[in-house]
Amino acid sequence: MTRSLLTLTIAAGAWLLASAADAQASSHLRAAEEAYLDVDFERVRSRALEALRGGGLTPPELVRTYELLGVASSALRDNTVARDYFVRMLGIDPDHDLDASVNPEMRDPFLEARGLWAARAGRLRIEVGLDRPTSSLRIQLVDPTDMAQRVRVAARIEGAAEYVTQEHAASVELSTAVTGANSADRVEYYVEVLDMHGNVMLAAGSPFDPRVVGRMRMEGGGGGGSFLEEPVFWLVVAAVAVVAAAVTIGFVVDERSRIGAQTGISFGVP
Amino acid sequence: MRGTALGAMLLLAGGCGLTPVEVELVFPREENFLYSEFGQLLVYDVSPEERLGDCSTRLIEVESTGVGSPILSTQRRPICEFRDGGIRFPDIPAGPHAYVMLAYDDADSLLLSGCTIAEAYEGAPDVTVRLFPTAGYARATQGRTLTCGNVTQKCATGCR
Repeated sequence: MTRSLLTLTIAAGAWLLASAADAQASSHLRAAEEAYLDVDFERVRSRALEALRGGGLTPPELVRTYELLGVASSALRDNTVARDYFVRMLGIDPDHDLDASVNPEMRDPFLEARGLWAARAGRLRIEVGLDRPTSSLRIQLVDPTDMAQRVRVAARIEGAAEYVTQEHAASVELSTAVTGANSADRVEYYVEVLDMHGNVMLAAGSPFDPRVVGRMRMEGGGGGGSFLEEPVFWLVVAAVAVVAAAVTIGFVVDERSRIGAQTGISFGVP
Repeated sequence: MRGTALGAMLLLAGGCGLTPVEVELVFPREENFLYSEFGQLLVYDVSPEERLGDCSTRLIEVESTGVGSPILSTQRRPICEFRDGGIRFPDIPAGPHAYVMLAYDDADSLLLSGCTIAEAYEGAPDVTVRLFPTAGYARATQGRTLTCGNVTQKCATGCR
């Protein structure tokens, strides 16, 4: 009983501390927004930097912070810095467009940043799978921004009261152990990808709306797992896919004769 | 019958000459081109496991430690030669590659750089390399007054 109380107290304390940090970051962002309305770009930049460095921003807040930093830097004629901020903003949300109120003359760094990303494919994303043999969640991270520093994973067996949270250094593939996942029907989880300041660049699920991985629920409850959960099935699928891809690539490469290239020039950012 | 045979021969003859892929070098503004004197186009292998940050990493390397080991490279050529198919690579290997373009001024300062990952094959779209001013651009062009007003003048009579 005493141990449960202690655990609850520590958890509540951690939550309060995190909430306080988040509230401070949000207040800096609000101050940056107010400065933006006052057209005071020096103050916009300093407040937005405080928000950024304070950590705890949600993905939309982080995108907005980079947008404010980019616009303020552009207004202060610091175009290279502005472009860097816009590159980071678009790395997190490639579809984001500039606030309609931004002066067209101040959009050049944004257009340059968009041009930089246009030459690249892919976007920041994660994929999560359940690895029953190791009783763990397997997470694949695609980070074309190279900004992700940590990955926070919270997971629980479906029906359990509390999540178990673990943080990992960001890497292309990582694994987080979930006790009992090898025999559980389903595992609930949420994942947050964090930048160097602890801001959330990407969130999949949340404590109150977790993602679920595991066996599909069957109407009428047939019992037992689907063949889709069988590792052998996926091994066979993967082997077939690899062979098919190799044959296709070989065929395509063979079909494509070597070809020359020649240069031309043009001007302007589209 | 004879017409069909002739048509087939023309088709075969046409098929032998593959159209070169256009590498379009996009300068932000004409002024950036006017300040440039020399250009160098490089092609690098990209490995499948490397990610999309390749180009930014490649540009940082080129700007800090040199061009490294491209599989194809031009010499530094007068920038005007890059117009209208002036610079050619006869043979681009199959598969995706990183195309890096560097533009220098007459003091050998790197003014602009750009990179894109693309694949050259028959019927491929243009390979577009967008150039952006480097960190040293402002310093290198500060106080310079161009003696030419446009590309035509620059490439006909030179520009200081």
